[in-house]
Amino acid sequence: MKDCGVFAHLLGARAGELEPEEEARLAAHLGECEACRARLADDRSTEGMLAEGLAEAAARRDFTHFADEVMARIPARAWKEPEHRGGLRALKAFLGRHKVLAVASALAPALAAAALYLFIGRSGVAPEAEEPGVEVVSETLSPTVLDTSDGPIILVNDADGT
Amino acid sequence: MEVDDLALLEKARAGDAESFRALVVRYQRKVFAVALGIVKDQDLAWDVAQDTFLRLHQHLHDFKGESAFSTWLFRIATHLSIDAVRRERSSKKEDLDTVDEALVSEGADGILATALGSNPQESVLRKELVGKMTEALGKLPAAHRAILVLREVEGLSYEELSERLGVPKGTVMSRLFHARKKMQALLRGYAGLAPSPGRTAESEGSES
Amino acid sequence: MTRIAKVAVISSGLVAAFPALGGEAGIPARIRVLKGARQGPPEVVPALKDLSRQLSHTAYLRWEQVGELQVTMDFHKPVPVDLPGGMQVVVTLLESRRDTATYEVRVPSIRTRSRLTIPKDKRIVQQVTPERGGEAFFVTIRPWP
Repeated sequence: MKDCGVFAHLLGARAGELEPEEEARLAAHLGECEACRARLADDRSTEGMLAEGLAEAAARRDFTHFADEVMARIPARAWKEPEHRGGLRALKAFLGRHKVLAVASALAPALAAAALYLFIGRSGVAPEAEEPGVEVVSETLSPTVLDTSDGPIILVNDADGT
Repeated sequence: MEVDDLALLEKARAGDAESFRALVVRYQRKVFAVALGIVKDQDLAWDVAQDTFLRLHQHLHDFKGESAFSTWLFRIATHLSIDAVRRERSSKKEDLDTVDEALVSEGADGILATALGSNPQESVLRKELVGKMTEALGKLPAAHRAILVLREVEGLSYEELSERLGVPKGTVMSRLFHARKKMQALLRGYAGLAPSPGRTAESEGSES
Repeated sequence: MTRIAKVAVISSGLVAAFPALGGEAGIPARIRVLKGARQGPPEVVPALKDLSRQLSHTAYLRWEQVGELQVTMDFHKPVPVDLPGGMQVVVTLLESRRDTATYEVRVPSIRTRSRLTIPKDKRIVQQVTPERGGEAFFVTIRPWP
């Protein structure tokens, strides 16, 4: 083999990545070497395929909840208070319908202002740790809890919905 | 209509969650693609992509505008991807710069280019091979995957690669050469173009 | 639903004989994913017969089961439950006393987290997707099934 061993490594260079002298020698070699021209042709013909292949794999995947998952891993206190889209209104309506002990945020200082914190005890008073209970925290929806003889049912409504 | 990256970044820095979320949505697939190229496994790539945005959030205030925002973001992604691969990798050390002779055959140069034709962007074969890219990448050793992704997806120059990987420019060029050569051998295999074993380099008229 | 299929089915008889004392071997639970719909003739599929009384309290009339897993849950080890459409619910056993078990149910996509304590003869039914087109998904958890 002629100097292909040296020049083959230069074939992938982009404009400006080689010294002018290296460029000139590469160009001269290519003029004489069919194998290196063929290698260059292979490189050119497959240009962009890697990026496309990966982009296709990414396109096939369902990203619907990717951002939600990322946001869920960032503590809410990192952000400024978002607008309440009717969340507080729904909470008041909820309080009217059910026997509820709404625990003040003093007990849960770590919770962001946007979180709704509700604690429902079966007897309606502050439950002991053993008392069966339901607590639901949601930043986006207003939960409704139905206490049935078979167990609790937690329903969620869009903050702007019923 | 399109709010530019820096505007979203500024608002995210000021505490606006929706702006940060918009950046996530804008780049989630690209970050995933970069991670997938390096770590191979889809679920691991998903986790690395998530970690990339978390890291972005932790370092929101560190971006000084010396590069494009996306450049900075992809740099985080590739860094985390390479770390993830290092953690997963078996202790077997691969000598990356020798060629796996069984995989790469001499005399095969130009076959791929010929098969892809004079208008490779349009060819059906190209579409098929693109579909096999992630599988082919998965067959390369980790360091070859990484350098190919850094070069072809992140677009780094030889100098940037040299700095990022901590190896001299000559090593960068030779590693890329070997990585590409292996990749092309795999693609020839997928296309059914692999020259049969034992065939001599009779097509290379100008070679001795 | 491949992740659900990968979880081993544990014989509940053997494990139920050793209720967890907190920190020891976990608690068996049966988690099911249900779809409820408002429209159509009221119908509860046979697999959900045991839930029909409880479900009758809701406005959803038609119920079907779309997933199930039976698993012994270790304390503080999150168990992901796949929903159709790629979403996930994460259920974690937090504690247990005598015959009650406390679970956390997290639904990251709607930023909702519940902490639910339930005695062994009852079931939790929690909605995990907002209603769309009159339909919504739920998970139900029953300890010591």
